[in-house]
Amino acid sequence: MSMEIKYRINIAKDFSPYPAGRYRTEGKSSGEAFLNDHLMAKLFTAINQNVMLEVDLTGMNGYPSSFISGSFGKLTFELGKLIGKKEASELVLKHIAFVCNDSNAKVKAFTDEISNPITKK
Amino acid sequence: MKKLGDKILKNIGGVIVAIVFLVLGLIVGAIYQSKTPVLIDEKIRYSELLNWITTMSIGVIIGYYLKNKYENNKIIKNFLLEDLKNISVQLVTVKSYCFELRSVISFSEEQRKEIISQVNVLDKKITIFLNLLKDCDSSKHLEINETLINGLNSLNKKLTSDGLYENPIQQFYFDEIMSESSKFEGEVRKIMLNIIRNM
Repeated sequence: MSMEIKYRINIAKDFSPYPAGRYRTEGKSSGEAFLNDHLMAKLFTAINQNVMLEVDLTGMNGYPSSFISGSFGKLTFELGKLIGKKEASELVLKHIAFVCNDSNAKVKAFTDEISNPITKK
Repeated sequence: MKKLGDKILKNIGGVIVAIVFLVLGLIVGAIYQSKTPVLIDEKIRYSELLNWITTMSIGVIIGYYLKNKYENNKIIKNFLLEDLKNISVQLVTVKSYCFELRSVISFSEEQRKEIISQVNVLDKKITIFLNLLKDCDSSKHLEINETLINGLNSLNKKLTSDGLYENPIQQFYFDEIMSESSKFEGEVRKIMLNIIRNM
């Protein structure tokens, strides 16, 4: 039985339609800003309650890899230090459902980053 | 008009001879038919009927079904090739835009946004193509979908990586983009060839 979707984030509407950059110093729509202000709290609550977080990628103007790596990649990478790389990827993917109505490539870019997080720091 | 009249008058002898022979033929035919009773074969030959129906069916299949199918496939193929051509053009646009910026020391916010937007346009063009392909040939969709998406994501990774924010921009940032986009362009051409040959 699939888990209930209890939390939702639409990146374009709730955060920015123009996400870009890894660190806050690279712009206010950076991956770091998204991770700390939106993603982390909702994802950990979803994991704690054993429910799903739906992340809607529709309407984003592109999907910059520095943003993806600075948010989803960074989170999985740091979590991997605590529970193991493979376990972290599986846990994050278990509780996040990506949705995208305007691109066939975005969802794969995000899931690939979670499966194989590459981060600078 | 006069010329036509002259031509008829010139050939009038030939026309009269032809009419005479036609009338003679008709008379001879009528005489022969009146002397020979017409026999009606009342036996139904099913093999001949079957032969006739088969011929008609083949004619209908070739004339309507196959011809229509061929023409529809040709139209769809043209649409798909046109979409792939648009992808190639957009790929060249992205590459050229980056090539123009080779001399820049660091990108401005506008230039970064433009690069990300160009990739977004490329993504949209690929989505249009893949959606059409999915609707008309689902057997090919899976393989082509994977090739195009992997190619686009690899290029996107190079284009919108941390290299976009380096100051000064490293030379290998541009080198990687050139290499990745050329590789992707090659893949698009292969898909074009595949559609031309096999659809």
